[in-house]
Amino acid sequence: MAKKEINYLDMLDALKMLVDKAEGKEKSELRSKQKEFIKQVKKIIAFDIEKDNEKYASAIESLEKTNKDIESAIKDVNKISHVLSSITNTMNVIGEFV
Amino acid sequence: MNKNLFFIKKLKLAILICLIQCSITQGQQRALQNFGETAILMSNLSSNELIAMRNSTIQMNLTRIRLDNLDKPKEDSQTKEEKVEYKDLDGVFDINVISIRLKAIATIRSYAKLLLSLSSDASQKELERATQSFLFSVENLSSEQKKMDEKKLNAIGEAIKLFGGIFTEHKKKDSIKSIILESKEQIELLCDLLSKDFDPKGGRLATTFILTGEELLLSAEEKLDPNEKKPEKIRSKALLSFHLAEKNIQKKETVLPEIAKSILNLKQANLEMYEAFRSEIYTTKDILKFANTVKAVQDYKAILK
Repeated sequence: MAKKEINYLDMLDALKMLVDKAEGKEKSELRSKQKEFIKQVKKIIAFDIEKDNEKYASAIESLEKTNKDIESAIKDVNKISHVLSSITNTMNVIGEFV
Repeated sequence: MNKNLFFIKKLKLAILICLIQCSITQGQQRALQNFGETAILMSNLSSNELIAMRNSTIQMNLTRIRLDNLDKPKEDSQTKEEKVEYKDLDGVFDINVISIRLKAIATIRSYAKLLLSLSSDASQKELERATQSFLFSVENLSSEQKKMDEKKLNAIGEAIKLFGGIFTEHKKKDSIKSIILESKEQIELLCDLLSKDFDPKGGRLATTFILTGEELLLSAEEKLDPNEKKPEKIRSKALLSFHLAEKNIQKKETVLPEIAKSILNLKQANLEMYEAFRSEIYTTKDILKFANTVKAVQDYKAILK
């Protein structure tokens, strides 16, 4: 299985950009997702998870999808609610092995 | 008779030329010195930064937990997660993890010191001491970091013995070449592992360090949000936390990539130095590039202090 990598800091930068654009309830919800994202990523790094397994590959795939959703929402803030559910889904996938 | 004298003179001249060619040139000596001095500086900078990263991680985690608890009702007991966080303030900067990295840096430093001894008028005793220190630091490396086997370590020990023998100048260059050759892969491996640690684009330590800063920044931003209408006491603590987080996150663009780059340049300069001895061609391109990136790290560190 090919090892996939993702740049967590670039993804976080995109998420921060989206938080800056969001307002009101969506802003605070995104902030809380951002916090969760940081915590989960720190766990992935700390546990030094084996990168050759399927669960890791599906987590990276899910992160990549969320990253695309974030980038799309930066261009169109109406998609923020979709990003919120996308992050929730990714955090669940990561939560399965950390 | 005259014919014999002429022959002896020619022979002496030939030996002299041979000895000059076989001895270390000024350029090679300069290469050793520049490399050694810059490598020592780089190893000091990176070990200091590693310790600073660990201390800042503890400080940022503690500040964030305290900041998050400021507006919580006092009767709320610590959650299970908070208790875990308090017990693990250093995160991936565990003392054992840092100690392994510091040993790798110490090996590079002792290698640089050995090269400096070889380029100076160090006594045989001083050379042996520098060699022992290098060999000892290699033996202390973890299995993932160690690339030198017993044979290579012995070869270095033997090469140093040649310095005390006859035809010192004649043998000196061969000995240095042998030391650089035997150590090349070891130094390269340490450089690869260390540069990865400092690389914010995927390095385990650097990425966690920045994420810890981002976590604190987020907590501070929440408290500073005008819509949250937090009391002034909390806002002023949040402002200090914000500054602490920003200062450390800034390293993502400055100190950390520069250290990672300077370590990779050290690897390249080591190769160039070996070539300088192997092929008699002396260039300073990579050694100068290495020296310049180390200078950049120094500048950033001075600004960020």
